[in-house]
Amino acid sequence: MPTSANRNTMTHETDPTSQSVLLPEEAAAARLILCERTGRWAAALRRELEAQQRKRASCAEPPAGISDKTYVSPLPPRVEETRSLARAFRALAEAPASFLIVELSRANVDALLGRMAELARWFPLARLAVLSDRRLAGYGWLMREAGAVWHTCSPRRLAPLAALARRHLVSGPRPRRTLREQIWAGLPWKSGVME
Amino acid sequence: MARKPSTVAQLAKTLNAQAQPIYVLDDEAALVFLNRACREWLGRDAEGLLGTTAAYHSAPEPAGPKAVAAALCPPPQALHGQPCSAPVTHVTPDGRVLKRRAVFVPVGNPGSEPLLIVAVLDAEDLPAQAAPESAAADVAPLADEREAEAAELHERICRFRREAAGRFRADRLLGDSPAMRRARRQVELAAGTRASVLLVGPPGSGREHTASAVHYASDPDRVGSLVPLDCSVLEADLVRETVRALASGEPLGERSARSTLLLNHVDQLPAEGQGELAGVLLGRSFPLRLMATAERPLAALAREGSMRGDLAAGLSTITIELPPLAERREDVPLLAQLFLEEANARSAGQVAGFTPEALDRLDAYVWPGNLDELAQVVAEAHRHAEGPQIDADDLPRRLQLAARAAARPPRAEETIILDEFLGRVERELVRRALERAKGNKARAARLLGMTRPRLYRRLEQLGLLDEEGA
Repeated sequence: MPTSANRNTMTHETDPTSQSVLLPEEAAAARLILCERTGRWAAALRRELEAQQRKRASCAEPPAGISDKTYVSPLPPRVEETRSLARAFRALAEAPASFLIVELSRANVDALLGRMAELARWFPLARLAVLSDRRLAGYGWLMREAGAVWHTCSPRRLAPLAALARRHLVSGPRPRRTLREQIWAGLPWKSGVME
Repeated sequence: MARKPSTVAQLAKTLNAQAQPIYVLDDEAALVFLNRACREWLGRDAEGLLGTTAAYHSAPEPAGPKAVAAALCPPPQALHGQPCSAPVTHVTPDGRVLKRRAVFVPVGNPGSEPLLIVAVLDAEDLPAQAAPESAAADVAPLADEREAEAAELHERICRFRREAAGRFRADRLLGDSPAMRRARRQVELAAGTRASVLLVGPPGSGREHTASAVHYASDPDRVGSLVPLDCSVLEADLVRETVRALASGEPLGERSARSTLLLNHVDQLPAEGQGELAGVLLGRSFPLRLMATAERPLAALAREGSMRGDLAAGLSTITIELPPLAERREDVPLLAQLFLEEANARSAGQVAGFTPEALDRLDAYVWPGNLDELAQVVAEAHRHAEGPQIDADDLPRRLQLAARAAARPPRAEETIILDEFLGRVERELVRRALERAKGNKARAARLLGMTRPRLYRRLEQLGLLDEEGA
């Protein structure tokens, strides 16, 4: 049985450095990329990310089951908006460990399924979630089957998605650093003390 | 003393007394209330309908609750918070088409997604003979449109599965190493049963691909869904939500019995709620086959106490071990060629193969990222290749560095000269404090918790005084 002693080790974290070999040398840092037609989902997602960030900042201690590494995050992830699948996948090619969120429409179902089939092979570090209008709710399980980690139809149910995206970005691989770079990155100015 | 009825019961009583059919949808478009008139009009009890989402589903049974609920789906304006009016068409089990005008009233903050949608239908059906042309023009397209949408989704699902079944054929698990030959035999064995399968191997070793091969080989003629669930990133409650939904059988319908739930990275499953999860997954009524991927055998995790023993055992009836790529180097040239052909198929640039030097370099590398890394290395080399073949120089720098490192004695461990490093840290802090104080020394000194004369001395010692022009 899991014990409270090992609970903190049973987080969603994987060793980010072990997968950093999968990052091409010219790869940019992981991003949160949102592909939608309007901007409606982006506004709701930003609100949710900020709300979660405020909630975390108000906690004196990381909640049980969340490691310090997951807990400490200086800012909510920035949402990079795109208006087409092609642009979204270009952004993903620049930052292959990104978290991609795509709004499903009748017009892009086949194109999205085609792209998702390529995702596991060519972007093994990326994860993809799907948003849609309620009228396309029936497509949710097909999208999950095709590899989407989550699907939602409601802008009011973005909390799980925001948490998923943040966890993906925190636990993803980062470029390997020298000891000097690691210490330098951990000095006070990184947490805004002298910014 | 008689108990007063609750407000909700009072409200339900009032609505039930109305002659007009009224129904209410929640923020997920699920039916939460139907008054008596509505139930009578639909010819259904509320029990089977409550909780059903009023949205289009794949190939709904014509008289099933999903089909009835789909008929009650509000127009998009209502879903986006705008009151509107539209006809609602219901096909009775005996084939009669009933149509009534409905007013949809979203409840919630204006301009945002509604919390509830209340639909109030006319008390009488629209007479077909009163406006035969318009009725025919309205009803038929609506029914046709919904049928067409359901058929389109069904067709897409079938097409997706056919393509996936082709992509994940067991004979595409390439490699002639003893480990891969053994893995292929195990895949064939597992495909012939409904037993749970655990795929164990390091990240990038092809665990998901192998699981897909087992699934699609199990029943090639009537393939069900393969639903992956990423336990490394989903919160415990989302894992439970998905598993409960699948256990209910609703999302996949009769396909559930042919379908597979693939718990990816199950070794990272949050400890919280494992008991409840084990209860559902391992229960007799869970309709899907179980597969899981992990880096280590689950029995080892159970021994360490990070996974419940029953869950570990229940998920590992058959265990297929996939070796790291470094342990099957003889497969590297074949796999590299496969990935090169895939890269050729994706781009205009065509590259025929690898030079012997490039193959030597691929062979000498340790492949910590396994197949995923090999695929990525080949794709990167394909982009850089200028000749007809991939040369050693086209390969990523880390492979070249690894080759050079192998040829040289190991470098001394990286060291840090503490005084020099602390000096750099101090300079940086002082510089930032001055920047923040916009060059005001007194304010910078306060920020750094020192006196102004002492700051001047430190600036002089650090050689920053000249830079400041003081």
